[in-house]
Amino acid sequence: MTISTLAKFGFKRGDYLIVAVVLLCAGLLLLGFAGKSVPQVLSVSVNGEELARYTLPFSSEISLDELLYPCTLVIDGTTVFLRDTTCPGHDCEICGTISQSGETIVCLPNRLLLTLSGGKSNVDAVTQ
Amino acid sequence: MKSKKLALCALFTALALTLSYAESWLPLTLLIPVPGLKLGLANIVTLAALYLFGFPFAAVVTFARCFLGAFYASGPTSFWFSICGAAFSLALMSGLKALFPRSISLWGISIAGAAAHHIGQMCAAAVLMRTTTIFSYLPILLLASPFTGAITAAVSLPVISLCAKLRDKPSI
Repeated sequence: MTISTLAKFGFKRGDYLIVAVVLLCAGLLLLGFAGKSVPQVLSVSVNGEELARYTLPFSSEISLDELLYPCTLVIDGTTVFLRDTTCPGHDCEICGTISQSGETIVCLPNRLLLTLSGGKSNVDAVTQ
Repeated sequence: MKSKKLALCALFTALALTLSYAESWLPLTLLIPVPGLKLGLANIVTLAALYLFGFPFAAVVTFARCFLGAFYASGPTSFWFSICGAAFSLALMSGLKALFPRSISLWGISIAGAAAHHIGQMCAAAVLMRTTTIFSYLPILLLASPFTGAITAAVSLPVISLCAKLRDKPSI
């Protein structure tokens, strides 16, 4: 649609200015938010039931004593790992740390699942 | 004259309520999944009220619409959202209309009103949820507002010109 067609509908100079200002604001905000990511959320679930959620960055050491094989959940800012596991396999310790959205730590003997969500992911999509 | 205005006020409020209810049948968010995105059909009534009878009349109609809509349908949280959006929108629209009557037409006023409505609602949400991350939706809503605002203006234009003729008739 050209400017002359819009003028036929009664568009005035100020109207273009308003559209320009609105779009400019949107663009600037979009640029401002592009670098910023939404906070990551750590979800802790056992047997498929979510027991706790932590919004990162957050630092704490949480003893998961009620599990079948007790261990310690360490949240260090934006990285998460398990320590002092008493399970036979130690798979969850071997898994190492997670810090990216979409990453998980699974402890099968404990049926424990730690998932990071939200934030900015390094991948576009993950197929499951 | 006073009773005529009262009756018109009730009529406009009823129209605005009907339009905002009818809008829930047009799930625009299914098409573009952004919370808060809507056509703003009730703004047709606000625009008409503002152009035909001025700011005080439009303010009364808008407040009544928000209050009654929340009272009968959507609840107190929604009242807070809609009153913030409506207040921002009406303030900007009437301000622009009064300050630049020659250089800005109904189109610009409507688009500015749509944008201000979104800004007001986002501010309300930010206060209510105590987070500014909600503002990340604002750019998309602002990008949509020239379109939604233009649609509202396109409907308002014939409505206003028709109502203006009726308003100026001495018989009603």
